[in-house]
Amino acid sequence: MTNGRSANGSVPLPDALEAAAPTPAGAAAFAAPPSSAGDPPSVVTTSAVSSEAEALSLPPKDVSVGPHVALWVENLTVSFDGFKAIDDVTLILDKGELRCIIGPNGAGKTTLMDVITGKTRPEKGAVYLDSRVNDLTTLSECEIASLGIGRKFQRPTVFPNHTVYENCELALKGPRGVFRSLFMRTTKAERARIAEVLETIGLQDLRAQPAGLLAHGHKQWLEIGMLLAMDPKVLLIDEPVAGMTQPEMERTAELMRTLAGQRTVVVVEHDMEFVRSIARKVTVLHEGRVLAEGPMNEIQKNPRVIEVYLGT
Amino acid sequence: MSTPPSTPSPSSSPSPAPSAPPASGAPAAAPVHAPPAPRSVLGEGGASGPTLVNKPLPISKAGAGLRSRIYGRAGWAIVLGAALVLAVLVPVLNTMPKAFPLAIPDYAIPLLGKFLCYGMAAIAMDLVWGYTGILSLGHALFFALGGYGMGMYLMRSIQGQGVYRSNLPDFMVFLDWKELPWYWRGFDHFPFALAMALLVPGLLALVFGWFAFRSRIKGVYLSIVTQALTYAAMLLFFQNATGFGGNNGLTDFKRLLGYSLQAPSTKLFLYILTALALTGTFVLCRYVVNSKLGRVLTAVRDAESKVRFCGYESTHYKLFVWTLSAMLCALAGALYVPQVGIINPSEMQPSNSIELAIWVAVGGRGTLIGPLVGALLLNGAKSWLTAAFPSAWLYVLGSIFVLVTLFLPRGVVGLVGLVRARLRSRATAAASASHGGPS
Amino acid sequence: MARGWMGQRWAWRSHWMVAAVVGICATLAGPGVRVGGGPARAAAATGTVTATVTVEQAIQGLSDPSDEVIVASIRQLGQLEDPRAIPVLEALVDDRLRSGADKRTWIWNSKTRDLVDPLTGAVAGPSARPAREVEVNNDIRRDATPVLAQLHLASPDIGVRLAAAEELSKDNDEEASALLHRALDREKDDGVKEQLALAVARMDLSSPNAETRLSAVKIVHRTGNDGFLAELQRLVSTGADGKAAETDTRVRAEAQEALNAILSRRRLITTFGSLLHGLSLASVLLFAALGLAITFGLLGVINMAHGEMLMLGAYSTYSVQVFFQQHLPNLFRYYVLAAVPVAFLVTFGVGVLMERLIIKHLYGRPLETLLATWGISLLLIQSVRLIFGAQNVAVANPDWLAGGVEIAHGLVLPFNRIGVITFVVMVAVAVWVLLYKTRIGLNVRAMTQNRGMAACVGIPTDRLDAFMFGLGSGIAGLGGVALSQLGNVGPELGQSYIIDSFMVVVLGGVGRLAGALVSALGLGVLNKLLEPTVGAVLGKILVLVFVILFIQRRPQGLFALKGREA
Repeated sequence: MTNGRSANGSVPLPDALEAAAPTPAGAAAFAAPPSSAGDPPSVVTTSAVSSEAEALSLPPKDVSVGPHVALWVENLTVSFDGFKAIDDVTLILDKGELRCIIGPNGAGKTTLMDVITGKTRPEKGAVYLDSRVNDLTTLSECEIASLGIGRKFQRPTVFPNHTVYENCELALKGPRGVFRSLFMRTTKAERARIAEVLETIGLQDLRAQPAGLLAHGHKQWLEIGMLLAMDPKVLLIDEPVAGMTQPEMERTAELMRTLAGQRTVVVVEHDMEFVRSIARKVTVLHEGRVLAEGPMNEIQKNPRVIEVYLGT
Repeated sequence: MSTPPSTPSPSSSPSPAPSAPPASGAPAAAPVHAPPAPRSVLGEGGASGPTLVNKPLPISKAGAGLRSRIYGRAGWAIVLGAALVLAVLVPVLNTMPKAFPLAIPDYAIPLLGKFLCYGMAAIAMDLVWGYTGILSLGHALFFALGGYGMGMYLMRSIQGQGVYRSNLPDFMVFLDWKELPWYWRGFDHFPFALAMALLVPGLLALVFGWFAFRSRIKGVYLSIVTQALTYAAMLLFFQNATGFGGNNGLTDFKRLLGYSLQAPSTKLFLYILTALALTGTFVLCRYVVNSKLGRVLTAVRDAESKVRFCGYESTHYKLFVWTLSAMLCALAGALYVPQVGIINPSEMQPSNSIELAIWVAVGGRGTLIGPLVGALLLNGAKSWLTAAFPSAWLYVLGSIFVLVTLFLPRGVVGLVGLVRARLRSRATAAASASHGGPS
Repeated sequence: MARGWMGQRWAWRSHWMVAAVVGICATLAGPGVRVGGGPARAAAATGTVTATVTVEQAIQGLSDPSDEVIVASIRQLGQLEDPRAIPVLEALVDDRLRSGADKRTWIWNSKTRDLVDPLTGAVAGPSARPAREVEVNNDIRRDATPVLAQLHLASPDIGVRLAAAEELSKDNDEEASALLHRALDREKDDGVKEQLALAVARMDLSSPNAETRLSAVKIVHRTGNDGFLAELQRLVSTGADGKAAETDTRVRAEAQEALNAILSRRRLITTFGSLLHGLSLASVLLFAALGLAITFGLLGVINMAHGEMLMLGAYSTYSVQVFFQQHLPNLFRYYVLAAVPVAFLVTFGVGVLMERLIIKHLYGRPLETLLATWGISLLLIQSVRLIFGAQNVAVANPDWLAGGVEIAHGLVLPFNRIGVITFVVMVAVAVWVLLYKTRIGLNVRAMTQNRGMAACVGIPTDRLDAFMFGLGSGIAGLGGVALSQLGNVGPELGQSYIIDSFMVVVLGGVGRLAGALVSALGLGVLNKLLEPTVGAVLGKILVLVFVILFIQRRPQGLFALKGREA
């Protein structure tokens, strides 16, 4: 079930969504027609209007983005030395959504994450969080992180010389000031929170192990745990199951599902099985542009997507 | 939820599940699942396992992930014991009659004091290099500036009693200067001079660090730039016009706070002061590295961009530890000068800073005790060799640079840890073999 | 200086007196007393100079025992203006004039130890000996010198005329002035004319006539000769009493303009000289920086012993020089050419050794490499100290590198600096060709960009590492050869260049040779240009501060590799 904005700009109410879902018109409305390059992605409307092919214009550029939108990437263009890594991409994520971004190598998935987290600056475009007005592309990485965007990297990056516990402690949401860190002691509540995180990711038995000695899969989970500890509003997860065994993958899928709902989760992955197991809405990127967007089964049937990425 | 074990260690973090050993310093309360780690009572250092990554050194032992506040009981015992030895036993031995077999001769006191000052500088350097990963090749600049601050006070305190019997220091009279430059004013008051000796290098460190860290200069670039900084400062101070004595520097000191600098009692007093300052520095640094700030610093060293993604402004953290380290070095320099009697611009030369780095490397980076050991060892060796085989010292030093970086990346302390781990595993192997026995 | 003028006046007076006495005596003594010595003596007796005296006769008079006759003869020679008199007058002034036993004038040739005829140069026969030296006192000398100058002025040789003009211009009397004016009118050659005009101008500057002074200053202004600096400054100055030294305003204004022109020209020359000095410093820096750009830029290795490669190159040159001195002294002037390959091979070898034994094990750990190479530098310095001594050693420029060419007044281009600049250009071109036009260069560039891939396609990364490190060190060794020709060679030679080389590489940006080139040039020239204004030390400090600040703004340097990975 996807959320979206209706053509006239009003926000559909949740019950309206529930009501609209089962009708065939509504079902038809969920199909996302393939958008050609450069067009803004058509956002599915839930009102039973014969406007399935109606390409929505972008949401009006004013402050009231709406409380349901978690992240709004607007007309983003990133180029490196003339090569356009991301070409006029617009992405809207609703709160609590679990979105998967897929696409061939070089499609711009990691670059997109780089821009959102502040590691790379775009040539054009903006990124907005919640209903805030400030453009994330003008902030530094730590500012963005403190605003509530967490990222898990492709290669597991944990602090190798710190224990699992310390890793979580460092990531734990809280004051980040120099002098606070010098004088403050971990409170009981914080300790409880860390323990909770460790339990969620299943590493409480290894809490005293230096993170560098962990197995690969455990490192991935630790990193996810650190993300949890940061308590972000938006989680960007870059290839979480790379190199995992099947049981590990299943656990990770479960983790992703529990994460979404309270938070917005964006997952970049190549493994289609995994994507299928977690995905609600999928965005396909190709050569820096949004190729298609919609539920997984629709995407899989989309001829262009098949041609470009999934293969026969 | 697990309950904290009843250990007396002043630990702020909760006890982990029984599978993990309790905080360092206390005896093991439960059987461990994690491999037993060599328990250095000082709570630090040691090779607990394979080197995880090239640059950083394991600072938390496997099995003791939860750092205690500063020390466990045994740790405090060691530290206070060492402080007692340095600050009390040595002076006592010095005041013994010379016939006493363990008596320490008078000339050794300022020498030891000098070594302890170097040790302080080395510990300060470890803060930025071992724990934060910033290899500064210009740290001796702060040491020298602190020394100059104290030197200026000492020069002013003998006004009217120099060779030229003038209110101005001798070298100014020699240069035909008529009045005291503005930046010398106030240095006839000891508190002001001491404050300046600490604040000026601190301010310089703050400004330089702000510029450097803000533009994300790191690694070898930063090292080169710090080297250039100290070189430029050295050139500046070599000029007579700068007003710090030119290439002769400040010397010919006579009195400190009214006490003659030549008197053995003053020297002893200075030595004791240095020993106490060293202990204080050690404890302070230990506090810093054990706090959350310290953990952030090592995280910055290991994976700075990850730290930033966790929301920490790494620039501020680096700036803090950089300035703290500079001020500790300056304090060391300020204590150094009255004991050696001279300060000149060659203290600022790049090779001094590089030697400082090698003391830390030889002792063991990221351990605090290692750099102290390294500083004492190398300076002791230097004093002995330059007296016994003068031309050999540079060969020895050069070889140490090469051999330590190649073969002993974790320094002497690391070596000790390695040996202990080997012995321990051999002991456990022997124990289990004898337990198993025949049939 | 009224010296000659006064001397001559006295000679006149004494002539008159002597003439009067002799006349009286002659009249009193009767016709029996005869004044001998021929026409010269007659001329002396009467105190007049007759035009009928020939050159030969005047020359003859030079060896007369009487001083007055000598002086008269000198004046006659001056009047006659015959250039053949020049050798004999020169001999007179040099104390080489002799009076032969045959009463004839002879010139003594100290080289062949012969008496020669003043006019023909023929060697005297035995009848002339023994010869008596003609005593020349200061009066005679004072008379002879300007006459000599005057004759020189009429010499067919341009160089002689020029020298005479300069000489005369230093005399500040009317006779000299008249002589010069006459010569100026007669002169055909432009260069000599110019010089004569200057000489005249110099004297005219102190003329009481304002118009004369003005025209003199105008001439000085036109020629821009900075030998007149002192006079011009005097003309525009005010005395201690506040009164201007020069009363005429036009003259003063003209003098001020001339002064400004001369000073600005001087500044230009000094600047150009500094520029050149800066270029040669930049050349040495470039040698060091090229090598460092290769080891650091391409291999990622910080080599603190790089300065010592410079030093080893310099000492190799010294050793080659000693070898040539002892075994091949005839070919000594070519020792530098032999030193080039020797220095290269030595430092190349040391570099390869360093890489194989030590640096190879430290790849990926730049800070440790820094420390280890510092240790190596200590070892190298100490070894050199033990082998060659701690003092500086002397390396001499071969003859074709010594000296210089003067391209403008006061500006000399030393050959050794020109040589160094040429050398560095050659080496830079060679390196560029190696890196961009050869297979090895292609392999190295591939290795720099993606080591793993390069290894996969079969590039021998290991061997190339050693080769490139050796090459970088070798280039520094060549820099050492250049350094040896420019300055002192001592064990600590490298230390003073290491920081500068690092600054060059840091400023220029890592990974591009062009960056090293541009920043070496820039820093070298900047350093030397600052030197005259703020002094060498402060200049160096300013350059260092500039680099540090520049890096703040642009941490990747001037020409950094762009892109996502950079």
